[in-house]
Amino acid sequence: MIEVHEISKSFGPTRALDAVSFTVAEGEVVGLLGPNGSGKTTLLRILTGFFPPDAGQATVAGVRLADDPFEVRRRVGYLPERNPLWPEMSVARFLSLAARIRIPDRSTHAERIAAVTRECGLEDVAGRAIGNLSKGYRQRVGIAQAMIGRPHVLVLDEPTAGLDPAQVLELRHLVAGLGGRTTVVLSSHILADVASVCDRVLILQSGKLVLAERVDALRREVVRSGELVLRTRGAAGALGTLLAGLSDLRVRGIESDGRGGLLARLVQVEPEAAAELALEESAAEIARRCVAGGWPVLEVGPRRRTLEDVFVELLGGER
Amino acid sequence: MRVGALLRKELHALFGQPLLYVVGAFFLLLAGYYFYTDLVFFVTFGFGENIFENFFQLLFVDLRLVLLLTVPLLTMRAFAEEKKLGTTEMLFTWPLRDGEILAAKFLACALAASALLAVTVVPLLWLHRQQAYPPGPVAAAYLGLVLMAMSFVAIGLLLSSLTDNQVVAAMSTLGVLLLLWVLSWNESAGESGWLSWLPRLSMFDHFEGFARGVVETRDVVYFACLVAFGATACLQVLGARSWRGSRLAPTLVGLGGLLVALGFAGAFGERWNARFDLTPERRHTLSPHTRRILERLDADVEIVAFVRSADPANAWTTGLVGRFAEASPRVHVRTVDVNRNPAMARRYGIDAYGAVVVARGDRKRAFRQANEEMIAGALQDLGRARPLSVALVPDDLDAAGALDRGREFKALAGSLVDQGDVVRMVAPGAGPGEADVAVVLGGAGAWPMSRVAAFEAWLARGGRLLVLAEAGSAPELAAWLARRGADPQPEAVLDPDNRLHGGEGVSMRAFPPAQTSADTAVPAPAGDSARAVASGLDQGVLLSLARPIAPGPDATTLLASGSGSWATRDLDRAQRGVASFDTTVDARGPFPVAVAQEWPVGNGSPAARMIVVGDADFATDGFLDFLDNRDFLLNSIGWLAGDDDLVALRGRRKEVGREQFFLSAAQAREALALAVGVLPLLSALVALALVVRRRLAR
Repeated sequence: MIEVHEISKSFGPTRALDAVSFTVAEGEVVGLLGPNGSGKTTLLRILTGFFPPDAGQATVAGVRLADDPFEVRRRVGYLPERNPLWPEMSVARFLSLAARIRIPDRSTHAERIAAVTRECGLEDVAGRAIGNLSKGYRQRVGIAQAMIGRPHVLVLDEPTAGLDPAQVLELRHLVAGLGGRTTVVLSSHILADVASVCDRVLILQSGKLVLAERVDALRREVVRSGELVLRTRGAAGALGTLLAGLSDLRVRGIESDGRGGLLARLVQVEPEAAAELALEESAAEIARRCVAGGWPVLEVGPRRRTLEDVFVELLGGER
Repeated sequence: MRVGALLRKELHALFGQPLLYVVGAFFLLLAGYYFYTDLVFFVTFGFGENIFENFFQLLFVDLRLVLLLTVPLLTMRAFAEEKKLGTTEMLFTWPLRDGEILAAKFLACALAASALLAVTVVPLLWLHRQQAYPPGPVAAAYLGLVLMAMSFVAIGLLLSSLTDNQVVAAMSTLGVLLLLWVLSWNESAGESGWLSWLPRLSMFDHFEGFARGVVETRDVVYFACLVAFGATACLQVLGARSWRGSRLAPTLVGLGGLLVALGFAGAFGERWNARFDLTPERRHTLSPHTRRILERLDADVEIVAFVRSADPANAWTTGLVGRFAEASPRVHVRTVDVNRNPAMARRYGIDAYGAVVVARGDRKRAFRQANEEMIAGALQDLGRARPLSVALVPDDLDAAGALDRGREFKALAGSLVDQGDVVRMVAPGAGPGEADVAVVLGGAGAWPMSRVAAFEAWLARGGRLLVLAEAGSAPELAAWLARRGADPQPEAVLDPDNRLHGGEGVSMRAFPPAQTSADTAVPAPAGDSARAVASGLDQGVLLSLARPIAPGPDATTLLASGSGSWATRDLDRAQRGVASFDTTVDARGPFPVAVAQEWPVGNGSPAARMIVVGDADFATDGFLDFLDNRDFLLNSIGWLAGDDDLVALRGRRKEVGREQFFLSAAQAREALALAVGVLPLLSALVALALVVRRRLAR
């Protein structure tokens, strides 16, 4: 549905995109991740025909951007990052305008307006001026206009920014419901959004695509650290003696867990390919030793990283 | 359809928001102010003459300035606000072409500006109801204003697309428009060198034709070029978001090329210019008065027009004399080229191109610049056994004073001479001599009984008398006039509703009695031939410090004051404009101010005729061209001379509305209330209602 080949774009001396290539299959939901200034919005603006790239080619919904940006705009629904709307317009008038511009067939306007109003939960505010709506409702209006023309591709730039947790959940639900029918590209800072609704993530950094990975693969990265934790109660010196006898693990450190107990971190001496399985074996061994030695086992097992840890690690940054 | 949808959005953003109505109130207040002040200036300093030159041209030039100040306020938000809100990103990623976005914004702003202009038509319609004027030139001017508004809008949109700050957009638009306006201010500065083409770009020059009622294609092309320039440059700015690398240089070259193309288009417009003059031609038909004179012709008359080949004025002269030939078989017309036939010109004593000679037998009269009235007068004069002799009777005792008094009536004397009459000034104290008609100018100073007796005897011999009786005229004269059935009263008539707006407080517009509303107090003998003197004068006669004339039982009232008028004896306070109605001494109007009297003299002579008017100022040079003053005087002299059948048929000297406009004090108040009060207030109220509605919706 989307094919991007070696796209580059500069603003003066700043290189916003540097030879980015990727493809998105039909019906796929793709998350675009990256720190501020990494080129996410520039990439999305190119895909929506706002401006052309300096170099490279892109094909969106079967149309080459360079050939017919106008037709691309007809096939792509776009929610810009700032979600700009005309504050004095009522929701109904705005959706009517969007329908008249996006849908050539006039007879379907009323039905499409009713449909997106319902899908985005805008029934109660249809008559109100957009400027008087809450941030959440405004975001829904922005998504409604993007969806109104049944686009082949839906591009959402930071759709959850500024929403409260309940609204974020609603939005995730809405986007997840589109998957399979509509190709969706969404950018976000929030990994949880991407993890919950996307099939795949693209990670941009300084204008370069540094990772394109399926989300389930990313989830596996979470435990691929070769580290094990034990939480118990007692004297730190005695615990060190207890753990020193393990053959394949090395104590990295023992510290207070902040709740009157101890937290011990251990790493594999020789990291293996089947790390997870080996770690679970080691955990079972530690548990047995503790029980034998009369140590209460509050927690023991492989250390799980957050997706954020993985993200930062992949980008080579530090927390 | 997409443009339609966008246009609806733009129109809603303009007409559904208070801004347009706030700007509208400002616009209408300024336009109304100019309407009122130009109108007052026109009737007070322009004497209400030639409404197109002295009122409409000023008004339209002022309206252009108002438009220049307001259009930037309408266009400033077009792109600047979209950029600030970020909604340009929405528009540019919707399936829209830049041209469609621009077209919708342009049409919406042009419609808003046209709507404001349309409201300024309301005071003009009001004016038309007061006194109808030909609408052609006004329509041409509005076409010009709309074209100019469109070019203002195009420039405003261009500058709005260059910034995201509305104030910057408005101020820069104003600056550019002012620059385009002032280019022609100092024409001599750019006379030589490359600056010489600058004034040709000025909007000032290109609007002037429209303001005069002339539509020229080169002016239309100029404004169309401005719109094209603004729109093309604006599209370049909108398209700049997709520039790759530096395209500044090619764009500048492209815009330069466009300017050159516009220059060529302008030159082309100059070369193939078509001109449509919407100013009304004076009716090119002879008046009923002239036709009656032609019907009475009892001998053949030759009219010779002396022209020069290829003179553009020929058509006018030959057309004029041709109409006389068409109207009567007794009139024979010849056209003589002065250069080819100098001997003929010498024989007729002609030394000017365009001269006309009217000849009957061996009598002839020549005119350097002829008009219909002159030729008709000559025909009437040559038909008489001898010309009508009119004596002007000044009222002062010494000769120098009499001469001064006579000088004030030069225009009247000129009009009589044009008719072919012989006009002569009577020496102070002398009688009318052998004159056919005597005109007493004021009647102040001494009138010994002997002089009164001389006039009485002259009347008995068939003399005819017109008395212009100023306040303070001689008591002997007044007593004699009273005996003859037209008694001049000592008071002055004040008519606040019918006074000239901005003029002196004692000015007054008098109408024939049938036209004064609720007028039953002034009966007139039916079937009296004298009624025709004033009955056709629907514009009325402008008098100054007039005195009532009490008519005798069989006298005919020619003119009367309005129903709201009153008479005061305090002439001093009246003249200073501070008089107020005093129920104990002052009398309520209406009052007759001009009266005609006819009485038999026996011994086979025709009846004696006399007209007494309670004012002399109205016949002086300063007043003669107001309203129907001149026609009233010439009709009076015509009736006195016995040309009864011609009196009612006199062609109007001036076309009412176009060439003569009168504004009473009451009308001026109405104009002020409508143009400066009602219209801006309505606009402000709509703005207020929208603000309140928005507050309530929150």
